[in-house]
Amino acid sequence: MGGRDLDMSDMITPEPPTVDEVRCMEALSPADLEILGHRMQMIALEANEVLMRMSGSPAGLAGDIGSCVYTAEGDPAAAAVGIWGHAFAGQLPIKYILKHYADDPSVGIHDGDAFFCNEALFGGIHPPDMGTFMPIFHEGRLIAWAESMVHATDTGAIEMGGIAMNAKTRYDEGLKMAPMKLAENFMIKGDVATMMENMVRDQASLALDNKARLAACMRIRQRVLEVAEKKGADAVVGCLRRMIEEGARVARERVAALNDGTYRQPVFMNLERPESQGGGEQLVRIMLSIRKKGDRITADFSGTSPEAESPLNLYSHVIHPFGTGYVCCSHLFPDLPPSLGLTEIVDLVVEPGSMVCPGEEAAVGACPATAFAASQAIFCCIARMMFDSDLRENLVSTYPYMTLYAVWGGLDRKGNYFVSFGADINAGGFPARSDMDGVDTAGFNVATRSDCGEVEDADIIQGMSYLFRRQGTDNFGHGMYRGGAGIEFAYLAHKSMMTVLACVGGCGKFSSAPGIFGGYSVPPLIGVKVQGSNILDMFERGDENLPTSIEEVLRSRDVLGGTCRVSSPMLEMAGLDEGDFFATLQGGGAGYGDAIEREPEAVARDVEAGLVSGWAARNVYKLVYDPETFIVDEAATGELRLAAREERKRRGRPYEEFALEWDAKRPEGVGLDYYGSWPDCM
Amino acid sequence: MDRRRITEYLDIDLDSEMWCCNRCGRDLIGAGENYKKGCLVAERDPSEVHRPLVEGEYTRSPDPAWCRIIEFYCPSCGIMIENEYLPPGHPITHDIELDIESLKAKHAAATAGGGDE
Repeated sequence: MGGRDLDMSDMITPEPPTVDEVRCMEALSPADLEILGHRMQMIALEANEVLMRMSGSPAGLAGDIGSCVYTAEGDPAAAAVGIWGHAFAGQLPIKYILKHYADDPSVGIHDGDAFFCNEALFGGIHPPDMGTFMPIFHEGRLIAWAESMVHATDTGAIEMGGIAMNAKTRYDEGLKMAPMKLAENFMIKGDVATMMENMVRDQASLALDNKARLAACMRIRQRVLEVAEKKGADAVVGCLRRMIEEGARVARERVAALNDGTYRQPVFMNLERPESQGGGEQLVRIMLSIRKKGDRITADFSGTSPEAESPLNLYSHVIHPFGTGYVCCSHLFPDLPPSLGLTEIVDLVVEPGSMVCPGEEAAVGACPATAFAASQAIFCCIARMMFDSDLRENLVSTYPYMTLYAVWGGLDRKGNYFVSFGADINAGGFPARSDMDGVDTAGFNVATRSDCGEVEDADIIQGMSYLFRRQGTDNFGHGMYRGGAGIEFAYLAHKSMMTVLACVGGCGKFSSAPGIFGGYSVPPLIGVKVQGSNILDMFERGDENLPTSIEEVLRSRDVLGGTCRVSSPMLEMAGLDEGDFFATLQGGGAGYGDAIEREPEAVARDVEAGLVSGWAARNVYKLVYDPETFIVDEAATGELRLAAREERKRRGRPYEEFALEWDAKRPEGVGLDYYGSWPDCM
Repeated sequence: MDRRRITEYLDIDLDSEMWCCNRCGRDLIGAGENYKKGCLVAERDPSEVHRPLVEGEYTRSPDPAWCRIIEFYCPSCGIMIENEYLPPGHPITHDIELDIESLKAKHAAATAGGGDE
């Protein structure tokens, strides 16, 4: 019904080369492949620059974008990020267009066309991720596709901001366009643009993003045609397919060198069900078993919780660009040009009816959160696979889980309507590695080259002020190598005529960012909403006791006055009056290795920098130091760490004895409505 | 003795087919088993590792009703080989199940070729 072709979700692997592509590949010299392959990468990067500079969305400006040169068959061949998912997610819409519209006289595929899609049932990700796809013809021959994607601020859903946490089904999520012709003769069709703008709240951003994506695609087209003119169209066709074929070949060789076996990792999420749906926290599980044999990897998500009446459901084709594709491009093969070929080694297994293979009616607006949880499990399994290999230096623990996605809007100080989002999501800490700490406030897990923006811009352009923004204390997983520090910050309603704020969050009770090899997880995040306080009076008089961290906010509640509510990071859409603020965090990376093996001086440096608390230094790292000078007492530290090992041996019990007691336990008082049957989610 | 280092804290002795502690060398359990069964195991309240910032339902420490930290130690040297954050009673994860025959064959081929570490 409705033109859906759900069998296409299996077409996330490279198409077999056509006869024409084989001929073009055979004619391509190794030198030309090297030169032209690099040129295609540069073209994608240039398109990303165009996209970022023209986008009207705060997310676009922050780098939550992707551009890619695709083969004529619709396979990603040369990607640039932003977000890996955004660069890779055009393949199913393009393949749909080729399959269903090429010979349809009412649609067709012509030079100067550009198509739009943001519908997950047709290969998109979630509604705010809006993509444009342009065929590239050379003398009437289709030789490639250009793709660009931006995360938009609004989709006209039942809540503003593009991710409606109250959504129960797809019909609550606003604009969902199956592949549709957005432009002809290189011009956006006015009637289509008007229809789209009419369906969302933030019309200006959508209008500008439509133009930005088209411009990025046109830049790709221009550059690809320049190559075709200079080297011939066959060289373009041969190069694009060969990049995928070579990527797949090298990927298979490297995977074959890894240890065969099965690697498993559960990742738990706690989701706060909206008050409007009865409230209450719910536990869900993403279960991953990776079977590696020879040069193939099977990622089996059997045992994952069932489809939920929430927007966290995820169509399995999204796991590829957000999970396996990201892991392959960033960690397994970071030195290889990113193309679909790198993911060809992975076979996915999902259970119909589960959160990662829901039915057609499912809401999916928050599906990236589930995709990120899936990617956490992939990282853990891959790390265990990579340690005993030449790829050891590429392994990581896990990234900060996406617990934070803040959106706000209202009337700014000039009376203009605005909708925006907090790019603070892009300032998480990165995971610890086998030989170094994670990078502090580095980025976002699938958007490694994105940016958190300037607080001044948020104040001037986006209608929201910051009370503070800083690297947080203990906001990462501890370990021999600690995760990179995330940030904490407070959004302050100040001098806007009206402000409403919502925060898509979760995991206030459970961490979804596991450590690796004895490293600890990232702690859960919280939200602190303060209303009716005297914070603006403190500003006015330059009070030096203004809180600059969440801990200080909590400590100075009596001084601040008003009401203070501590919650999970999930905040339903609600108004903020002048001076109200909401403080929360973006997490850090998870830890690697046993914390009591961390270099003592490194712990002391972190304490001095405010990244590790004195409490954690004593209780987790077992460090003895001078709190004034931060000089380590090595002998006392060594004794304390030795005592900690002895204490562990006293505390620990043989496995069978432990399991007897542990297996009898149940999570009492925990919401299991979304979990499935305990404990296996069957 | 042919040992492969599988993780930061775990080796496999290919001759005896045993998991061993990388730090002290102690045999833990057969390589075909879950290495966690050869460890000492302790359940910890998350607040012992993640300092609560505030009392109440949300503290910045995992809620102990929802999540416990299970730590796996070497019985000899006390190093923490791995940990898991699990809901109470959730099955312990068999996270590494290697194909030992394949591992031995790969190691033998690499040694014969002179290219192994």
